[in-house]
Amino acid sequence: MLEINGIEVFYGDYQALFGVEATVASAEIVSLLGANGAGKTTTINTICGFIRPRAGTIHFDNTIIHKMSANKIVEKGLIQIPEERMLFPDMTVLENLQMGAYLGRARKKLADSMDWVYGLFPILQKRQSQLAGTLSGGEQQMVAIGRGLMSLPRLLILDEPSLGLAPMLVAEVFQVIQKINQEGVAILLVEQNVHQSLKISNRAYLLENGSIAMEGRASELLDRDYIRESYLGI
Amino acid sequence: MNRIILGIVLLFLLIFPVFNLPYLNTFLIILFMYILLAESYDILGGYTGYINMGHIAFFGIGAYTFGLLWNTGLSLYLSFLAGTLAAVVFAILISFPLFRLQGAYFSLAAFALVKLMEHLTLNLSSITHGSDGLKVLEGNRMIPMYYLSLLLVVAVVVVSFLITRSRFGLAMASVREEEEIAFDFGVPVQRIKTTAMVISASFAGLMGSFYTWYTIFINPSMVFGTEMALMPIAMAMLGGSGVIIGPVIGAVFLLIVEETLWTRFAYLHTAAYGLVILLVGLFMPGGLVRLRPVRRFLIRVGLFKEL
Amino acid sequence: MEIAIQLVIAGILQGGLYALAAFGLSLIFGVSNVLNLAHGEFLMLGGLFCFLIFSATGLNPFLIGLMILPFAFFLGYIFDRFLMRPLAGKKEHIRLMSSILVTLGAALCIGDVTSFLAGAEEKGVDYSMPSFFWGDLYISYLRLLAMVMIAGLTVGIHYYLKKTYTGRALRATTQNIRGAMLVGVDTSRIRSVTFGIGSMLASIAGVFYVVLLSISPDMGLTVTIKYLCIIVLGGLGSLIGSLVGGVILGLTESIVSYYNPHWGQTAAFLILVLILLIRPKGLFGK
Ligand SMILES: Nc1ncnc2c1ncn2[C@@H]1O[C@H](COP(=O)(O)OP(=O)(O)OP(=O)(O)O)[C@@H](O)[C@H]1O
Ligand SMILES: [Mg+2]
Repeated sequence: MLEINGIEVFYGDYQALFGVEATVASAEIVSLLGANGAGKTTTINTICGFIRPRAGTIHFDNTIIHKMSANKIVEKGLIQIPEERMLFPDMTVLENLQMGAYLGRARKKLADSMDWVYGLFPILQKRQSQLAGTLSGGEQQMVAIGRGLMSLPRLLILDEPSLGLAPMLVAEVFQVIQKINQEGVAILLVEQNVHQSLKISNRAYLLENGSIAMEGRASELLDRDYIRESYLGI
Repeated sequence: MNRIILGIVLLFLLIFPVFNLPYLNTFLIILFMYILLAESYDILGGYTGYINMGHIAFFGIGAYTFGLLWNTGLSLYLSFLAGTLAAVVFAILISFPLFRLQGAYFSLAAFALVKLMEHLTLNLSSITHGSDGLKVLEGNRMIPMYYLSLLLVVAVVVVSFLITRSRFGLAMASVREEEEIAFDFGVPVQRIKTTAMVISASFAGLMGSFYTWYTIFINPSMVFGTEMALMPIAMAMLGGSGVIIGPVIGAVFLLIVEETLWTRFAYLHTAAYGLVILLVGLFMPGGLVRLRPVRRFLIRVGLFKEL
Repeated sequence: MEIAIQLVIAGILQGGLYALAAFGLSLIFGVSNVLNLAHGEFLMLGGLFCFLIFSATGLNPFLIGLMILPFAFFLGYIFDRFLMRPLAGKKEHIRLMSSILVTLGAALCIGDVTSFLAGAEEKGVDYSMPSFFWGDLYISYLRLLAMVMIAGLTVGIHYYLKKTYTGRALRATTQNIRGAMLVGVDTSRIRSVTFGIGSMLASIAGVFYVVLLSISPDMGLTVTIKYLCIIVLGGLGSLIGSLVGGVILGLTESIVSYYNPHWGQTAAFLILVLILLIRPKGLFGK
């Protein structure tokens, strides 16, 4: 459902991506792995319409999206959960979640989605009238994911959802991602936590210095010596 | 190349009063005054990025301090000095609270200070004569004023030039680009900002003193008025903030536009003038000197020094 | 005692009026980071059109004020669309400067064109309504009506921001513009809408000005500066902040002016500067 074809992305004169190619099929979990500064965030910000590629194309459901504005892309069901979470700090948890259902399609299903989110993160229901800016880091991550789900994603892109979380919570987040996927939502997972991501993914791409260095089935990549040495430290 | 150009311009300006053209002479004095205000504004605004909408307060304080002291019989030079010092002291005093603010907060609080000064000079009429204004000893001072203000303009440009080439200038730029990182790397941010403001204030304060001496009469709206406060800033931005030659070009440009409009149109000159400012802001962000052809020309003749 | 109460009432009315216009400015700043130096011109235009229509028809000026609201919205909307939006993609520092130039230029333009077309003199709507005594208090219906309308508008804005989707999107954009985009908010449209709302609030304030005080084509920059000060005093972007800031300024002015008319404004700015020295981010700023 998502096809990225040879995108080249620049920040000023600095080239961050060199002809990146990748696809995500419906109902798949795909990991995008890579070290710091490899260009993972750049890739997904380009998908979401925050950065324009200088060359290459991006299709979502066979429509070109790399020229669309960010809000139009959201409307198509392509939702990002950013690394910095980007909550609305002076709104309550409830209001943050409601904002997730801002667009028409999601607005109609607000009550159902709310049940879904509270089912996945029961603690958010208890905190629903607390201001988002006063939540703990882990709780903020849950609100961020919850808000993304409220938009009724068809493809959910998560940027390092496990960053800064305690190991217990990391495991929980990975479980939640699998649950979301089981509801039929395709997932593009950006992670540095290579081992765990590969375990829940169908396929994966490895990004190095702005280009795809390796791709394949997740189980296969787990066994490759290069990955084991460089990213898993085995 | 740049030396030759600057030399010719300077020589021309030096001998200009010989031609005995009072109208142009007066125009040039006003021009020098605006150049000075814009350029001295930019020492803080352009290099540290703190848009000081209250810059004119230094000018006004210099103007009033000079006038009041000179009227008590203090010698002329001491009065000039006092006008400058008053602005400097004011700058130091306000720098501590003001620099706790950033961005728009800073600009607006500084502007509020100008309004406060305006109202205070209006109301403390036992000292300042309020809206009746302050008069000083009369005299025709066109020629000496011409040279004094020219000298001051040269001085402020030279100081700006020295700043851009110093470590101090580098520190100012680091404040503008990433203040927090600069602070973490041990740049004495507060001291840099205060110093920049003091330098900026001293020029404006001295110019204010000259101004009172020259015009003989000042009142609160002449030195603290809203348009008076905003014009030098608009000039600096219009010409190109953060480039030495920028505020100079902005002042020359805007003043010539204003003069032309005033003599050509009976009505609507302010509207036309506003339109020019608007269009520059809209289509030339970064100012005239950063327009590609202008910039290329300035670089070629070696006049494009930015921080 | 009656005098004290009378002064407080006058101060609150004045302050409410300030708050109304200031809040529009504050919303605009919150959403777009623009210090709109042309805000006072929208206020002046609101007052002017009320004056013109009143002179022609003699309708209740407040009713006229409501009638011109859609036009005010439209004006603010296109102001943003054509003058502010082109600056949106620029670097922060450059954008702050360009927006100062553009809004200052626009302010000078609008003020001068207005004074050319409608005359430079002060204008006021001479509209009176009966007044009555409540105990020893002299109360005019006109001022009472103004107060009720201001209170109503304030509550209305509050609910608009809290309950409607557009109002929430507006707040979301203020708090985290990238986050707002991520949930599908068209932030450029929201910005234009915010300018529209700001312009509406300003024009309503202008109507109160022309009825209770007076307006003149060159008043724009002066009142803009005052409102900018109020929102700084209250804390940029805070509704309650603008309200409190406005009322503090209004009360100070009305009380001090009673004892010495010249010192009202001075005292207001003095208070403003003092508060900023103590609380640099304003009373309700973070
Ligand atoms: N706004 C920007 N301006 C200039 N360069 C940028 C910008 N954002 C990212 N870069 C550069 O582009 C490269 C890729 O950055 P990106 O954020 O995509 O990496 P990443 O893989 O997400 O890293 P991390 O794991 O640390 O989040 C880096 O070298 C970075 O310095
Ligand atoms: Mg990243």
